[in-house]
Formats: sequence, structure tokens, C-alpha cells
Amino acid sequence: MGTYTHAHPGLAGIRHRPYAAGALAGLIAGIVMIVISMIVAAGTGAGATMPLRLIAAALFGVDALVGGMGILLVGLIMHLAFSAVAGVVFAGIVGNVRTGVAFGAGIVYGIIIWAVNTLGILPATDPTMSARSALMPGWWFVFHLIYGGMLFLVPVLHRAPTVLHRAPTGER
Amino acid sequence: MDQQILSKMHQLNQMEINVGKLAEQKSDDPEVKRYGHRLVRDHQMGDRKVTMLAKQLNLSLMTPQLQMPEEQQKMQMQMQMVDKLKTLSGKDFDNSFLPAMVQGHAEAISMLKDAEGKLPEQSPVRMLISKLLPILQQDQQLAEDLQKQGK
Repeated sequence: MGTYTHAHPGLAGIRHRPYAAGALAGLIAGIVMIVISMIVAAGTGAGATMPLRLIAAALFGVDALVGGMGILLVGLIMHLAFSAVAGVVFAGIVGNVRTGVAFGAGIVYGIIIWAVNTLGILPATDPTMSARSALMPGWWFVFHLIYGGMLFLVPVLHRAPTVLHRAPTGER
Repeated sequence: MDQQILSKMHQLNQMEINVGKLAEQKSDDPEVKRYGHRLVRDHQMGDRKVTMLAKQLNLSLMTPQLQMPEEQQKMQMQMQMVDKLKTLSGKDFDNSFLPAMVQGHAEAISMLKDAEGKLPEQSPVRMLISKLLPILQQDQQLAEDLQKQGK
């Protein structure tokens, strides 16, 4: 029955590397965040691709607003990379806590990221996004809460391989 | 004064939406088409905020009264430009459209900055102008960049 563990070699590895759980949780949270922000952007008339364009504007400036598929891909890669890194940092801060605690800490973490982004990073590095996020401040805040809240997955993913490893095999 | 400014903003948005739609139809260049699309979306969003604020302030949007002869002349030139753009297509369209967008946005930015300076700091119209000005500046920058790229 040890094959159960072998069927999930990637997850089994996470058990030994807590930061990998942070990266994976950050990635999933980032995907949820970008999908929701694209749906909202489509609904508010800005266009579904707007969030990706605004992220890419940090590199390409205002020209990202009219760029082609390449710009969208760059925006997506940048977003997922930032999301994964922020997940790793979060995992490093909270460690292996209970899921509820991770959820609460994630919300606070999301608010901190929102504040640092809005007041510091964006005006300096991506004025295009800074100006446009100011037009929908409520949603902009909510997107960061969603990202932070999804980081409850850090301890879930951190523990998951242990459960998967133990239960079917009866080890230990 | 609020009514006059909001009416001007509304009129400006309507014109930009129409010109943006023309660019989507008449240009052959994908980036110029996307710029037209951007104009439509930005000014539709701006117009929603303008009409919403007018409603909140219980003001009706009307055809703005152009008191200065220069204002009347500018308006007439803008109408002529829109009529001219309707007759063009492809590269000829781009060659007239992009400079018109650079100039049109410069005039709109100047008009809004002027209005912003005359309004009290806590005025909701002034706050709306402060939020929309950077968007207009981005749209102007885009037209400039596309022109420089030889679009």
C-alpha cells in the first residue's frame, strides 16, 4: 500500500520543506485572486484582461494597456511569481499553525500587502496601476483580502502529505 | 459651476467614446484598434462616474454653454475632426486619429486642471477630477507612444 505515497511524490516532498507549501498556497491564492479580479474587471467595464495589463505596466509602462498576448503572459507570470514569493514569506512567518489561525493571519497579511502596495510600491513602480486601482478602491482592497484569506492553505498543504503518507500505509 | 463642469466632462466622454469606436472600426493596426477600445472603456467608466455624481448632486447634464470664442472655436474644430475621421480608414485614419488624440487629450487635461484649481478642496467634483486626470494623461501618453512608434 506504500504506492499511495508514491502516487503523490510532489506532495510528499512538501512535508520536509514548509516553504514549498507556502509557495504552492501562494500560487493557488494568486490564481484565485487574479481570476476574481478579471471577472470583476469584466463586470465593471474595464475589460477582463485589464488586471494582467496593469501588472505588466510595471515593466512596460502605459503601453501595456494596448499590448498583445505577450503582455498578458508577462503580467500573468509576474503576478504568479509575486504570489508564490509572498506565500513563502507568509509560511516563514506563521509556520505550521492551525488552519483557522492561518486564515486570520492571512487576512492581516493581505491587508499589510494592500497597504504596502497602495501607499508605497505601486505609486513608485507602477503609476498606471496605481491610478486605476484608485478608481475601484473597495474591490482593490477585497482582492488582497481574498489572497490573504486563501493562505489558510499553507498549513493544510503542509500537513496533507503527512496524512496521505500515514493513513493508507499505517506507518508509525 | 459643478453643473457646467460635469456637463463638459460628459460631453467630452461622449465624444471620446464615439472616436474610440471609430478607431476600432477604421484602423487596420491592432494596437491602434486596442487603443480605440481602451478609449471607449475608459470614457464609458468616466462617464458613469460623472453621471452618478450629477445624480447625487441633483444636477442635470446639459449641453455646456461655451461662453468664450476660443471654446466655441475648439468645439467646432473637434466636430470637424470627428467628421473627417469618419471618412478615413487604415493608415490614413491612424495618421489623423493619433495626433488628434494627443491634442484633444492635452486640451481636456488643461480644461480639467483649470476647473480643479477653481473648485474648493472638499468639492466632490474636484475629487472626481483628481481621480480621472491620471487616466486622461495615460490615454494621452498612449497616443503619443503609438505615434512615435510610427503607427
